[in-house]
Amino acid sequence: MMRRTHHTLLYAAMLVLLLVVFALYLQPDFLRAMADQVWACF
Amino acid sequence: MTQRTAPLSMSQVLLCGAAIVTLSMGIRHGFGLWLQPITQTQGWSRENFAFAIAIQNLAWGLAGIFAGMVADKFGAFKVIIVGAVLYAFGLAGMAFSPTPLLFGLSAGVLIGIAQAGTTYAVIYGVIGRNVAADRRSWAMGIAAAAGSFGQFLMVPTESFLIQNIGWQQALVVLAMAALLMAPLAWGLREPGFGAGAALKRDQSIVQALREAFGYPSFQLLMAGYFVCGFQVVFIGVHMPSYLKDKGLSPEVAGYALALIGLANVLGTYAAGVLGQRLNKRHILAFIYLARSVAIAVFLIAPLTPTSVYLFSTVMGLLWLSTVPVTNAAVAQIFGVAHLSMLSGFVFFSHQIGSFMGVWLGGYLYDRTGSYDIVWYIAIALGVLAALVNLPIKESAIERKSLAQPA
Repeated sequence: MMRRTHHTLLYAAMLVLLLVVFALYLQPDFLRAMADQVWACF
Repeated sequence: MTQRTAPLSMSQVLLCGAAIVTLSMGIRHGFGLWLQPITQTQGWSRENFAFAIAIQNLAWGLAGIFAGMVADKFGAFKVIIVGAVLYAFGLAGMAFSPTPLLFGLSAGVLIGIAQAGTTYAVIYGVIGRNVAADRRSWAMGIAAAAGSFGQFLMVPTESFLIQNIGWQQALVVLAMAALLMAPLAWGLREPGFGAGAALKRDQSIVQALREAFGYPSFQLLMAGYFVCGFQVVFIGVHMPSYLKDKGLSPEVAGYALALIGLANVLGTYAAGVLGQRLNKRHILAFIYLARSVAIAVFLIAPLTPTSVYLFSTVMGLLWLSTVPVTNAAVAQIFGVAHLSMLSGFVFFSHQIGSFMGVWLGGYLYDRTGSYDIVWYIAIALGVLAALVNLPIKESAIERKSLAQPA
């Protein structure tokens, strides 16, 4: 039971992390700032 | 292999292996984001930064051979734990190095060695030894796709950290994230490597090397992988600069890199699945030829944001798709006892190609004022790699006095 709870919490945490990153990709301002950072490398 | 007991469960190997590769590959993909803040704050030249990254790539390739040897003999989990600690020290060193020399030693040498201990060659050894041959290519596809996913996941994360907590603190956070690989390595603790003992094998390292380097198919696989490194790193490093020269906006380059990362996950996984069903030499020949066709069409077609996105998606599908197929071919031909070491040698060839792609791209651009010649070289090399992969004999090598490969 404890193990299943741990697994569920772990998968939930991973899912939240993924959703946060996907949300970053959907923010035009953030992506523009990241593009500028990438651009600055060249 | 004489000391084998029950192997690790496949889900455990894949979960831990994929998480380690996601972290290790993901962190490194964002290093370019630190170029501007570090050079501006420390007053260093771009050359200082670029030199450290070049050293890192070479150290990764060279150390990969030895990390593979140690992992095959004493267990991958020990190598991964050392790699995780070195990764953390290297990232902290990047944050606090006061001179270019120390920066080169930490960002270049330490992180290069750390990557050798925490990426494909070492993880593939564990997969090879614990996943049955009929699912090996698929499992390697999962691990390689995890590395591709790391790029998609970590680059915006690193950018977010730099923008919100500053570049030095961002590196400290990454150093702590790198340490997470150590407990994950515990999940890759294989039976047969217990109590610090070396695994007893039928072939010595020297015998395995003599056999591999005397076998033409191994040389052909190495030649193909050289081209993979050349094309991928040339495009990854120089394409934004190429787009800039052609007057496209920074957002186009940003989306292009994100598309490559996302398509790469799908392509790498699909290649692993196909490697289970089709001849690996045919898959590799197709990938290299398709890359050449994609580059040629990209150069001929009018350059617009749409053409860049299409090219990035196609190249993303073909990006690291060579990784699971090439390594599964090595395992199929030579068995798994020395898989990490042999994968390390093949990867070293990849890194030489990477170095050539970056260096030649910059050198010929400075000489001619355009990337045209390097694009043509990338096309020609792709065709050549397709041709050299076709005659590869991917069946298990015949050994007179030794057991057949797994």
